[in-house]
Amino acid sequence: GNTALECKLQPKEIRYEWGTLNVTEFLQKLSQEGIVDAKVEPIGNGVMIHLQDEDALIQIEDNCTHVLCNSDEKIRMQLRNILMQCLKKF
Amino acid sequence: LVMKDNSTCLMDVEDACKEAGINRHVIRFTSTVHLHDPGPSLGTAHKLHALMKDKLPQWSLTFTDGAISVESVLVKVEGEDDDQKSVFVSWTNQDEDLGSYILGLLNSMGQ
Repeated sequence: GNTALECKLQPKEIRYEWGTLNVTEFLQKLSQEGIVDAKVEPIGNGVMIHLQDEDALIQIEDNCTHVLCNSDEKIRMQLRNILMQCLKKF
Repeated sequence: LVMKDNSTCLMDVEDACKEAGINRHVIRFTSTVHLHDPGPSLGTAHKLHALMKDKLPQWSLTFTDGAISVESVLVKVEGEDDDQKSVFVSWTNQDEDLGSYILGLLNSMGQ
């Protein structure tokens, strides 16, 4: 109900990611989770990873990563978990 | 809170990272929701703004140039005069709870 939601949206300890994402490690983790259709192409200062079956794009640069999906939360959460494993946090 | 030269001071995250030589890595998500809502896209944006104000009374929302923002979450409507609108919901990883809640809210409207 609403009470649970309000609790969930209360401020809590926030962690920040840092460092550069290792694209090879990221691709390995994707394939370990069964995502094997990644198409990688260089763009600007980084790479663009296209996941056709999952209908998702991941744009990776030294200091930022942008994940673009449809409204399918399952794939976004999966990509988020993998990204978090690949980055350092404080 | 940063300790420097035997004293402590408050800094925002960006400045503290620069000071410490840490290269922050910002993760941003953008998800797209398709809504059936005929009329101009600004009208759809107004409806979404009203819904979000209602559901998030304790948050400070802003409405600028047809885009709604709250913290790092940005909601933008595209598809001028189309019956079908694309709504882009974008947020940084630090606002994951708020961003995914708003995405869920808009998704439930589309069903």
